[in-house]
Amino acid sequence: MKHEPIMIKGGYIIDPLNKVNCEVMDIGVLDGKIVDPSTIEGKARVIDAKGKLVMPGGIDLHTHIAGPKFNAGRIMSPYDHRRAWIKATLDGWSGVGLTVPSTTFIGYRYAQMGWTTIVEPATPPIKTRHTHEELDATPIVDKACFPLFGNSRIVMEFVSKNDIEGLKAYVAWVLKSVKGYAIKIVNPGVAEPTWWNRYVGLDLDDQLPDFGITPRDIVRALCRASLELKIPHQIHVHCNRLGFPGNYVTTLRTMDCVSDLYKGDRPIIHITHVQFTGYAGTSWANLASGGEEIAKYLNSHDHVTLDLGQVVFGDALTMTADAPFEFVLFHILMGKWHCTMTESEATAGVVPYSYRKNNYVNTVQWCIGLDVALLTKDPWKVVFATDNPNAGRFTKYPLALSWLVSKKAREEVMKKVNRRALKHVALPSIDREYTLYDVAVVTRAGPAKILGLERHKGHLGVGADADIAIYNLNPVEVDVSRDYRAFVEAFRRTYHTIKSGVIVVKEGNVVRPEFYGATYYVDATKLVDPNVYERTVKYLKEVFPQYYSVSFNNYVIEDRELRNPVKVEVG
Amino acid sequence: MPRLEVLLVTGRTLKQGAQIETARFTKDYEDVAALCFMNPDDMTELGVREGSNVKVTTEAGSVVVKVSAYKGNPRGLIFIPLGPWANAIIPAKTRSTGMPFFKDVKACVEPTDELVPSIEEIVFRNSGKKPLKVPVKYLMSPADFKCNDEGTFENHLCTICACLCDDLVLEVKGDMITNIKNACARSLAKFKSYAAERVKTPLMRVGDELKPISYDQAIDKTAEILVKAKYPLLFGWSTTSSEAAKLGVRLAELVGGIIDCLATFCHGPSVMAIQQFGIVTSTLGNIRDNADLMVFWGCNPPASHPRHFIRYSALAKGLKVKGRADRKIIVVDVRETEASRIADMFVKVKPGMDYELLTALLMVVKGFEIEDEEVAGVPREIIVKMADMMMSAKFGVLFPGLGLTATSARNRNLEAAIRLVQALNDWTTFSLVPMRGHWNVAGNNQVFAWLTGYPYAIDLSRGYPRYNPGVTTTIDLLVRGEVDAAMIVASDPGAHFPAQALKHLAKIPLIVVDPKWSLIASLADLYVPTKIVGIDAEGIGYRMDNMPLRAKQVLETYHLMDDVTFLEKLIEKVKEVKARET
Amino acid sequence: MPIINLNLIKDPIVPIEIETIIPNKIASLTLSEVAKMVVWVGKKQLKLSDVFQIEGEVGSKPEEVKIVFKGYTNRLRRVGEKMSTGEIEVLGDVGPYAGRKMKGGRLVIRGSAGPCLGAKMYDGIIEVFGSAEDRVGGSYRGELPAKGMRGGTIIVHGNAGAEVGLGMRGGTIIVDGSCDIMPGLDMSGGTILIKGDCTGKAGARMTGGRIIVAGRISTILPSFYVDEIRPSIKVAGEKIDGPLLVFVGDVAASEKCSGRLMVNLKNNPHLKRYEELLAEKVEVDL
Repeated sequence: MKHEPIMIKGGYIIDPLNKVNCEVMDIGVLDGKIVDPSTIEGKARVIDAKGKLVMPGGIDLHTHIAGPKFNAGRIMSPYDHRRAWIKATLDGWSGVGLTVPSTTFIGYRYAQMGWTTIVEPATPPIKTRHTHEELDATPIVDKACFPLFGNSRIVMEFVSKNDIEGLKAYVAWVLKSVKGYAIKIVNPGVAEPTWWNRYVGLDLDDQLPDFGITPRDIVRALCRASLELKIPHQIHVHCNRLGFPGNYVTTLRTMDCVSDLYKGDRPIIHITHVQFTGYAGTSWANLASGGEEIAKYLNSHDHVTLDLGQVVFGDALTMTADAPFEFVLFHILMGKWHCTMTESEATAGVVPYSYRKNNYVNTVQWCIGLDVALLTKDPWKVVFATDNPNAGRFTKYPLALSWLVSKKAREEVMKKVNRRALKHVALPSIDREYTLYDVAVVTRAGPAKILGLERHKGHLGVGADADIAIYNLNPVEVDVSRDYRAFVEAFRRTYHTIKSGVIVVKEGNVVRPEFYGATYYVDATKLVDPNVYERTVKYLKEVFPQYYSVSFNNYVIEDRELRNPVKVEVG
Repeated sequence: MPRLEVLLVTGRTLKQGAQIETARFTKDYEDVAALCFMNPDDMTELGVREGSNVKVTTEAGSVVVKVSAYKGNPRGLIFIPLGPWANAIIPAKTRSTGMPFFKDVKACVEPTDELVPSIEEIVFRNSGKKPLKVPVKYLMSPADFKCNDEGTFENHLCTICACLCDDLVLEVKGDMITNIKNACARSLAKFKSYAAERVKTPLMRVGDELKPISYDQAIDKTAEILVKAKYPLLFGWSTTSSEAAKLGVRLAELVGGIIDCLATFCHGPSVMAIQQFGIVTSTLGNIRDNADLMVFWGCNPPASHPRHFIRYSALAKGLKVKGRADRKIIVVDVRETEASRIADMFVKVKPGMDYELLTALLMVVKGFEIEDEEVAGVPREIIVKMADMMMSAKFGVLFPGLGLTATSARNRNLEAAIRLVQALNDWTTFSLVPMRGHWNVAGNNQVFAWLTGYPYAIDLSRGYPRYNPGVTTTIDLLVRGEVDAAMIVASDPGAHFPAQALKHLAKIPLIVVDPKWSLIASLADLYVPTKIVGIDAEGIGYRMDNMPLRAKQVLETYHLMDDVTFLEKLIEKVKEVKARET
Repeated sequence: MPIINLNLIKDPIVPIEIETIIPNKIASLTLSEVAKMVVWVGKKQLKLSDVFQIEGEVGSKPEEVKIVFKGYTNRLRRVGEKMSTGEIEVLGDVGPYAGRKMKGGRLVIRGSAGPCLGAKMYDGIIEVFGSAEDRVGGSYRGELPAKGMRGGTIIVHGNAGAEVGLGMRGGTIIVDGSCDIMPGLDMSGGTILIKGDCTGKAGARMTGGRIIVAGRISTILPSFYVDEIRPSIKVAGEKIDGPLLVFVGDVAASEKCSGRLMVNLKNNPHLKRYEELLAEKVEVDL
């Protein structure tokens, strides 16, 4: 990619992967990459970043932004689209929506906040063509998606036969065929399309009918497959019993169930939106935070990473491939409920929800995410996310991050929330505050490492992708702990966002609306024994007419169907 | 003269469905569409015989059609196939849903000596504009097609109805499609007549003449018309690829128009119902494998979706449910149909009373008492029995058709159906799959939703999306006469729109972008020929269960432009014109 | 009261969105200032004077402003949207959204009104001398129940379309003529009086409020239960003579059945069986 060279001069750089903390440095950008500034000295367009904060572009590894269920959410929320809109221009698209915005709006808003890579974490493989169509329509940012494996009939067959080699071949074939990036497991086994509303609340070690296996078997088998295929991102797990009081025990057991597979290098399991699976207590009435126990486990184990699913008060829209949970939620609210069974693969649900400050349960939920984030000593194990739009919309990230960097900000909120709830959580007694360096870890460097993209993303070293966010915040003069409002204001709109070496946002306004990023996918087929691969593909061709209503050939998505595909080849 | 007060229902028949894929400006079309199916007893009362002419009159007007006896119709109900003859008498009121009165119209029938109007006459009467014929020199022949690689194309997508069957086998030899396997009657008609009614060049209407112009001229002219118009309408999109629909949205926001698709009078009410309550739905493979109870409500798949039964529903062989013998089938309709003949239970509902019946079923499922002995013409015991069947099924599915979306309460019918299905999930697993019509109409809703937030009928006049069926839906806009230019892409309002709506369309500058010389093309001021997705172009479509599939091309046509390229160039031109303006 | 006349002489064909021309926004402006105000004509923004012939005078206080629209008024959308005081009169038909979100004042339409008349209205009075189309006093698409009209009065002297009072939770709607299907859909409060006939499905999914149908109604939804017979009822100071058959419902929407549907028995002899049913019920109760 040829673009004019850019020099970012005199900013305070925070770059945790290169252990740079608030140093004044120049950064050179040429042809989409970061280069040694001396090589472009004098030729470059200069961005004066004096007194400003410079970070790598943000990375969101769990944000629902595309695909069939997100679009179902859009269709269900016409009321949401009336609240916000932008007008079309000669080179920019129009957009609408707050909680479930249109694709273009998502790209613009992420870029305006300084985020440059986002990942759709759940797509049923058979409908991933749809997901890619939406990702292709999302401007500016780089994208990837995780196909769902945890409720797949074919996966369960391989697991029940204990055929890990076959499973590996299947996983590699699916990732390559539908252009997916990692293995997503959602409520393993329970949300299978033919029995999703029969075994609601099934636990990790309960038997699944038909196959005689347990969710534990599924998680372990997929974890082994993922490790042996060297998929850059470890298995991405949404635990069983999500949304049930007392489920933090299940979460701990899920983390622990693969601990013996850990070889001491990279983490091998990622627990997602831990807030929803971190409930202590026995019922909604005595719900409490299990955040402390989860943080304790995290502090003593290195094979796990997690993201928060931090609650932000206000309107949200729950959407997940965990249909049993949405089934329960619908019966609590009795409003709108969307549920889609996808043949042989997954069942997803969508239910609008609103988090209220005076509500006991919502307050506990709000605290759990913060409990986990603040009690976990090593921020590299924690990724900041709100499971957009499940626990809160991504545009509220600056506000939610302020609760991490400032105790004062948390206390402001705690004044207005349900008092009784605060007695059942750890948060009021926690003094820890994240530094800006920690913020850069949980929003940039950490997720880059966990996604296995740390060579090119999440840092500002020479050779990295030139995805850069410059914020109007002087980290030396402003104490974000005291002046958290300045932090929120700065993170809401960047001074400049640079994506792949192109200035896409200037002073908070999108200036290159027609710029489109890449879509990453993994090809791990080289790590599968060719004979096994051939046997598996042959087997798939045989069972396809029985398991699917589309033919084998039409299931496969070709490279040319994607706007900018980038293959990450392993092996 | 004897007269008979009746209720008029319109709908698809297999022959009519196949004919519109072949050729429209023929006597054959008249033979299959200018018909009125009546109960034989009604015919005796009226003193008419098979094939006599009758005049059907509604508040919207009257039309002469031929009578045909059909025992399945209850007395006092007539059925006219969809088409321009039916459109002549369809009231264009929509109850603010965008859906005109295709069903349950009060009408009267009387014998007549008048002749059945020919296709040209009826289009002229409906639109008030003279339909033009394309001179033969501009028409394509099979010789205009080439193929890049001969051979057998397996797993080919059939781009007709929303079943989107992907198991067609096409044999291509000597620049021709020589053989088609696994095709239904409609599909066969389409693939056999891929060269019929195709035009080589863009045409402009000058008076009553057609003048050939180049694609570049067509693009300039289109851009000029759309930019100049104050409130242009961009309608259609449902029989072309999602890629084209995306560009349609872009074009609409640039020219400040309204973009709408065929859902507006197909399953738009279903989509509105989903907005209200959500839905419990399933992909068709899951249904084929597991559903042991299927309810077809107001739809007749053998006529509208010929392979639905075999591939996905009633007769399909599934993983757990092996075939028809393992399934129970319930059909709810106002008249007997091909579908009702294979049903285990046929519930004949009074026209326009579906909402009442659905409510009664919901009451049984929820355990409430029904005081009336009969609801919507159905005895209470039958309702209880039907509800019992639904509750005791292992996996049930409800397929609502136009008989539910186009009658009486329209979207509210669907809302009642969705509430019923949601409640049934407390007892068992139950799903609902709207029987979408055109092959990519579900895709239009998806594309429009992710680009604008709304599924159809999107008003972009202020540069950002707004939506309200009843105000921004095509039929309502045309009836109120509020649009001042229109571009129709890949759809034929000439065959679908009520006359009252068509009249306004014929009055304003009209651009038609369509692979075939359709009824609306014959009224166009500017006609732009394109390629057919699945034959000489490729693209993505969404099946009725929102399954995305990609259609491939088998032939090549060199002098035609596909609609994606046309729209891309048009958008560039519009930008150029707009940039010049400011 | 000073009157400003806006005359739409030429048919603009496309809709004109006129939501900015309400008493609150033009009070104390001069005529030439009003003439410079911008309205949307289709996709174009034009000065008011480019579209209308303007004459008369503008009151200095909002409550003293009266706006009169003349000419091709059927092209006007959003007349009187969000107005909270003063008066607007339309000498002719009017398009969709008249009086949407109206908060007070008076809106008089001499002709007929388009869909969504008085949608989500808070307060004030709307009077239509012709007919009104669908969703009078209604809520928006995809909104949950009870998000429609909250207060105020809508009087339609002609007929009304479908779904009168959709999602209504307060206020009064009076229709002198007949109405199409589903009056009171999703309503939770307020009163709907239909003096003429109703096509059917009255009160679907209602959870509160009352609907009175003085004319004929073909059928009652199965989810309504007959409750009592009343000799007469008073609505907005007007006595409606009965006897009125009172139904409660909609049980399919709420088990509490707190909605009331009242139907004139005299005009509906085919509902006689409910009277018998009621007699049986009373016996059982005794």
